[in-house]
Amino acid sequence: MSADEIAALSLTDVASKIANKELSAVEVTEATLDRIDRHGGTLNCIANVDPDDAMAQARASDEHLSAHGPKGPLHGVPLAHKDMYYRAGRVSACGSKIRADYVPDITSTALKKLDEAGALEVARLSMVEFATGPTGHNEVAGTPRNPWNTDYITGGSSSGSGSAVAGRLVFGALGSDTGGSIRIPSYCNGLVGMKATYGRVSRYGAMPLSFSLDHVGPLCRTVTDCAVFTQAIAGYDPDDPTTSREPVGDYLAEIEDGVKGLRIAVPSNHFFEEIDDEVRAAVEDAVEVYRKLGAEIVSIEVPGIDNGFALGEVLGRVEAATYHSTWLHERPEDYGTQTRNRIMQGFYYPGTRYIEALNLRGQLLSQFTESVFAVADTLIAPAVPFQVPTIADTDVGANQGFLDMIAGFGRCTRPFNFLGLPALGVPYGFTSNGLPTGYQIVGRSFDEATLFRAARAFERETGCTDRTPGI
Amino acid sequence: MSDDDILREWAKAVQEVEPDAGSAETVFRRVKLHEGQVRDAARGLPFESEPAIFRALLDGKAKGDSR
Repeated sequence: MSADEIAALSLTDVASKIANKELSAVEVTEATLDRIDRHGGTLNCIANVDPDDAMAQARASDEHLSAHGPKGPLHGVPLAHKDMYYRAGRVSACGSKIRADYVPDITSTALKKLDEAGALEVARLSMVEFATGPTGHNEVAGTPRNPWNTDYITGGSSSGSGSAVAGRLVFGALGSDTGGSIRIPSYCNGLVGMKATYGRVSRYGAMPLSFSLDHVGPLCRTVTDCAVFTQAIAGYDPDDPTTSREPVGDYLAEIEDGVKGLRIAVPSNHFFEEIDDEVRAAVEDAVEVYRKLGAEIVSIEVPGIDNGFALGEVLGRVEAATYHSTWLHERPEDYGTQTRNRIMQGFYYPGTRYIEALNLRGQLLSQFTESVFAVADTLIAPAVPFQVPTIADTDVGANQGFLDMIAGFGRCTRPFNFLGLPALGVPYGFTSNGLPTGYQIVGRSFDEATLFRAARAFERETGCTDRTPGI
Repeated sequence: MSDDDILREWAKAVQEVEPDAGSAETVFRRVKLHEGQVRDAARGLPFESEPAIFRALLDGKAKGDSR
């Protein structure tokens, strides 16, 4: 197989071929490094790559396979991750000038779990500075480009993750999602991205932005890839007291079982307001696909969702300002202007408003679950309410109105960070500008398995993950 | 003084921060918008509410529990 043929395989296919010794980890890693060498510069999605280290990992992986069999379901598969997952002794720059040389002395739990599953980590991926923006722009480290059309944004803040996975440079990547930072780049790059339930995936050793809203999760090319990846990183972690002891289900056990009888809610408010016509048509068409597959569709007005966005903004900004307080005072010039001014917003909210937002979280979660999950098992909504824009059109820095533009990106995604509910970004077709579009499907807390099952039925029916960018 | 002037002076004195000139209007407008939305939403909160119940609620709302 050529490098491009290997790179075009899904994560699960390449893992299977390595386990069956049809391909070696060395061959797959050589193909990955070849793709990174040829396309990493154009896409500007690689923060750092060490080919010698990657090949050493691959050789060790092949030796382990020969001697002991596969370590786990990701044995020998080259991955790369948003540059905010700490590995002891290695730089994690977080897309910033401030942490350009930061070398942590701990390894994140997500990386440890991927190591245990046998995955290789071959590069660090570009990201928005300190994971603060939804477009993908980075004033200090450079802006990644969308492999479907390099004039267009990747979305953010997991910008490099979206670009590298869609560009077939790696087989999957960790992102992080505080207001949509997994689902927005999944949307922009035609990928499947999981923001699991708050507490499902450990955040230990991941750069914090907002401890109430931060979620760790993967961006992948197919639904099954995403299920396998999420399975590998999910679960209780004594190092992260916010993780839950709720048992992790088997995400693959029922993934092929279809959606017959599944009740799917479609919101009649908030999400379809101020939405692009083509994006609306795609989401409505997706709903019809589910209906055709045997799902029961329920239209519902979702209570409190407008507030969910505003409350999430308050929590996110105040917590980010708190984390960044020292650097903002001592090194303000080392931030990009958009990052600095966006984080600074958090200093202006009264403490009482912050506590009220925290208090309202439980109340809104109860309202949402009582109204939605009493009549449905999942909810489908737009992920981003407009077509993927160009890099030039969204290059607003910190100019007047920049926060209004940014807010539009998270209008549909941020409420589910506030509520803590699992949400899976699913690609579905392309808009007239040639860029991907899609939707998100939201579930009960800790019911990620149903989201994977539904999305897999949709993927099987529509082939929504079959098309690849032409690079 | 306008609301923006009050916010600006308060933050300079208390938080020792000030947004860049070009972004200040947008920052203050969004802050006032959110602040008002939270204040309105919080009017219905019971006197005894406290944030720690969120995590318990989330755990309790595992698969099948719609309450």
